[in-house]
Amino acid sequence: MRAELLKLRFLPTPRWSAAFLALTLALGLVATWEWGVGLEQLAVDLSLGLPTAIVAIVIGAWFVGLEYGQKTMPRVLAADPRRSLTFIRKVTMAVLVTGALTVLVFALGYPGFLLLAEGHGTGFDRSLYLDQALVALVTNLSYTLIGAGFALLTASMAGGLTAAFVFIFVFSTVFTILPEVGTWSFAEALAEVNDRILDRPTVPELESLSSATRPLGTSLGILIGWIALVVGAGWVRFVRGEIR
Amino acid sequence: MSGPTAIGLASLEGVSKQYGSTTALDRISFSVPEGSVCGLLGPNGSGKTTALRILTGLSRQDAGTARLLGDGVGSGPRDAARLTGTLIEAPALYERASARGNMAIEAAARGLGGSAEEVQVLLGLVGLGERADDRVRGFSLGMRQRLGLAMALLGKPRLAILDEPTNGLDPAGIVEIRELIRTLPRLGTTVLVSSHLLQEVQAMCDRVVILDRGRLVADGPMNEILGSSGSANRWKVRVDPSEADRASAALAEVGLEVSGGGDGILLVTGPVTDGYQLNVVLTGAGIYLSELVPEHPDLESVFLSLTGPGGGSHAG
Repeated sequence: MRAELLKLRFLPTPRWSAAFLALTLALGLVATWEWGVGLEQLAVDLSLGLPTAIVAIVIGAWFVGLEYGQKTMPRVLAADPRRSLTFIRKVTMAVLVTGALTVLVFALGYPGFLLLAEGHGTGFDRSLYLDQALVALVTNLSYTLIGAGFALLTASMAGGLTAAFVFIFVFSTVFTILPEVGTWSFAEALAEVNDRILDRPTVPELESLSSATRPLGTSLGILIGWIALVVGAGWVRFVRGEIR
Repeated sequence: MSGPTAIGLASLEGVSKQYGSTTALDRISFSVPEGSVCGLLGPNGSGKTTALRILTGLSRQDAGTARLLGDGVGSGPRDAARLTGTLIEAPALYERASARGNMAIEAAARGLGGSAEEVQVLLGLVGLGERADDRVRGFSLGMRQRLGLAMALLGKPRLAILDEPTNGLDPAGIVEIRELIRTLPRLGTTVLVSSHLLQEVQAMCDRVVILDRGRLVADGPMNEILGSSGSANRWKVRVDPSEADRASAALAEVGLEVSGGGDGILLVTGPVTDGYQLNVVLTGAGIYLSELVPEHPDLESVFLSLTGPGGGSHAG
């Protein structure tokens, strides 16, 4: 893991990701100052939840895919040919960084939202903010694993990013609206898990998407199943394939 | 680890590899004895890089066994990889990291200490001591090769697998790196090096493996391979052109094979160990030499004879 930690210092994107997250946080705070949080703290979701979710996909694809982009994967595996262990290290790093980033961003945003929202008079539901942070954590870790899985499967950072975005925002959504099988989609399972955390629909307008009638264990099982499918396929390709 | 010296520090045993309908390696067997600098040669597409990729675990063979330091590649403990430095294909580096940073990542990845002192010594050894803290993004191909070599030598490996280590270097750099590689066995590092620069291989290797179209066509000590070329006992003799025919006849009379002669230059082949012997024969016939030069065997002619159309094989 020491090598992976060392590489963190030299990855090209962190400063831009940090700038992007700081900008969206600032926009959320400005919106809160101007209009209050309202709509079940939609400002928090849009300024923290959604940006960190996008960054989570990028981090997942990036930690794994960068080695392909820089053509350093052969060097990594020549130094330690235990591919499954390398796979675990990469995925673990992506999960740890995404988790830490999500917690950090929500921690940094907390005092700002608290002060501005309460000052505005719309109030601030602290317990809901914590639930939103937990939802973001579950969502982001799921997304980062999907990003890492697709990067391994396509042996490419660009391929991993594209496939992950298509899977999360296109395939899963289309799957969700299919009759009979739609409730088995990744998006539906994730929404159900998040609804249980919030104890309300994640996005009120789309309430019909989430039936939330199944036991939490079933929703979690479907979510984990989709993640395992993508990450497992990436693992098989990584462990058995030619490394370029 | 089981007897690395007996079977060589790196070895392929009956290894075959197929890419679709293309045979990259066809039942290849060779081993790299400890303490040697072994050159791996072959024309483009001969299977050199595939062989190196199999030895480093980046590709898997369809049949046969690949061993590093006595362990099956990818199946043994991590020691074999830790004790093997590699420079495969182009030196892939972390562009935003400095030379020193790349060395630190490599040391960590191989589970080595990589002390600051060792890193500085190695960077100095490859001529990058002054650029240790520069980002490699601005490095030339030659500098990248040098850094790749320094990374491969971290932790005083028992074996260094180097793919085209002099690629991109200027002539002075090639000589410098060649001399460095030649000294490695004395420092405890056996070397397997692939190169298409035949003169370089001849100058730095004491053993050579030649592949052609996925087949092994030569394997053995350099002097034996060179001796097999038939040029080991060849001499170039220059006489007055008007006496060339007479000289040819005199030399043929003592059982030597003679060719050329049109411009007074004769190529003489046979069991001649000293130019003195030729001098005796020709002066005995009343012919005086204006030039007598031993033809040194060269790897290029051996390589071309083995890998050209109808090339033979020499494995020993």
